[in-house]
Amino acid sequence: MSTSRKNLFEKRMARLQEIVAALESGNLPLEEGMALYREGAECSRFCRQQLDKARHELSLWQDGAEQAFKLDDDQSEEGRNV
Amino acid sequence: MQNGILTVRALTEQLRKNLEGRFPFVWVRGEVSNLSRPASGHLYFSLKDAEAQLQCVWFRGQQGQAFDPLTGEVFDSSRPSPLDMLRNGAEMLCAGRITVYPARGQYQLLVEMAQPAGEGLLAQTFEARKRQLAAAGYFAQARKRPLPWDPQRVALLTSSTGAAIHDFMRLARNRGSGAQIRLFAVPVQGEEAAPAMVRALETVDRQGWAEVVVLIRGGGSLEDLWAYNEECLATAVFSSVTPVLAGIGHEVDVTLTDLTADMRAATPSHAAQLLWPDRNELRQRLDEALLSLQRVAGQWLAHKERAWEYLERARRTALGLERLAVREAGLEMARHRLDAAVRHLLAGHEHALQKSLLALEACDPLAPLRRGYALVYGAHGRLVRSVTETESGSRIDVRLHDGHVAAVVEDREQLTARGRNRKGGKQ
Repeated sequence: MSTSRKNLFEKRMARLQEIVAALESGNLPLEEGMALYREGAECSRFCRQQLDKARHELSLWQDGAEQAFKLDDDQSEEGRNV
Repeated sequence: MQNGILTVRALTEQLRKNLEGRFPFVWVRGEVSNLSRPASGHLYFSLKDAEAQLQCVWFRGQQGQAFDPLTGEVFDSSRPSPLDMLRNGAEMLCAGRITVYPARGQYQLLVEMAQPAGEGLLAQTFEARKRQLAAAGYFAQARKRPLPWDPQRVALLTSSTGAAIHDFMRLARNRGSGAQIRLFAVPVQGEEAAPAMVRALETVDRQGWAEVVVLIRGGGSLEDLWAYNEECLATAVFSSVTPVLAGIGHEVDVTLTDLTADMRAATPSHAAQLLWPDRNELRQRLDEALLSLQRVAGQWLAHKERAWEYLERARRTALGLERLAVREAGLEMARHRLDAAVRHLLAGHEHALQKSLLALEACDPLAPLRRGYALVYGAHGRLVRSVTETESGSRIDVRLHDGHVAAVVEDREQLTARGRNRKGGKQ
């Protein structure tokens, strides 16, 4: 179903490394090299933004539907062991 | 067997021998009462049930045994202190030998080992089930799948109110590049727990949404954690299409679910650590990649620049040729202009020449002949200027403008000065 939706961060990181390798091998036409560099910089910018705004979103699956769910921080204290 | 009267001591001694011979090692189950622990460190208590009670002594020297007196199995980790397990009202299994304490005339159990009653049975069940599942290949390393790296969609099976989910989320906060976590709130102990988790696992597989499913639970006794040793749950984990990460209880707690899962975390917090890489580590990787990009792009540009300079030099050379062409064109134009000028100049000269020729023509001594004059040449081709230079009968040559006439002189008459203009000589 959604298994093709890969981790975007990881995908862009991989692309960035691919671009580094491509530039490293040299021999690219100027236009292509510049385009690759721009794409690489864009990947890096995307990844940084992704990290800066990275949050885990918690939801609750109940009765066949997804609902918003927020943990009560007061419950995080020690003493509850289940 | 004997006759005569026995002393108390003799009788007691015989009873002791009988009892000790008859019960060299027994397991007894009962509820602890009258627990006392004097300064000596020995433990005294009674085991009782509804109908009877048994005096027990657990000598200090026996309290720290490191192996199972029944099976000889050596314990991996230190056993919980007897004082932690023993309390009035606790249901215990005690093992040891029966003896008689003559001073009180009491038989008693010399305890060598004790454990909570429920746990003993569960532990036996656990071991049996573990062997069975191991034989079925549930724990085989070969079938364990790697967890996805930095997963974005995680199914979480745990209680929505326990410490486990808080520990998990707290650790997750600074890890990974951001994920959606779908909580399946399930009971984590009691009869309902295992079937509820089995259903949740089936739902996770059916949805196909999650990249990994995580089962976590806080620490507790073997009884508390028992749901995770239920065969139905182990089987559901075993057959789960989605990779399973389990973090049940504390580090020392190992359940059949842990053993069956693709990966086992020691605790719920540890599960979050295993699931997502440290965000700072991701930043570092990103920084490294970006630096590589800049370095490589710099090198690449320098390379291009060198190539460009080379081309530029070639271009400049080509430009030199161009300039030459321009100069050539200029030269061509100059040549044309020069040509024109020369032609113009020549034309001017021609005109002048023409005029000169006309002027020259006007000076031609023969020119008057057109107007009817004639020149007369005598013998030897000498111009005859006077009649006296001729004789009758001599031959003369008369030159007209268009030719010669050969003539012979018949007569001659010299004119006077007066008649010279009226009468011309014969020609």
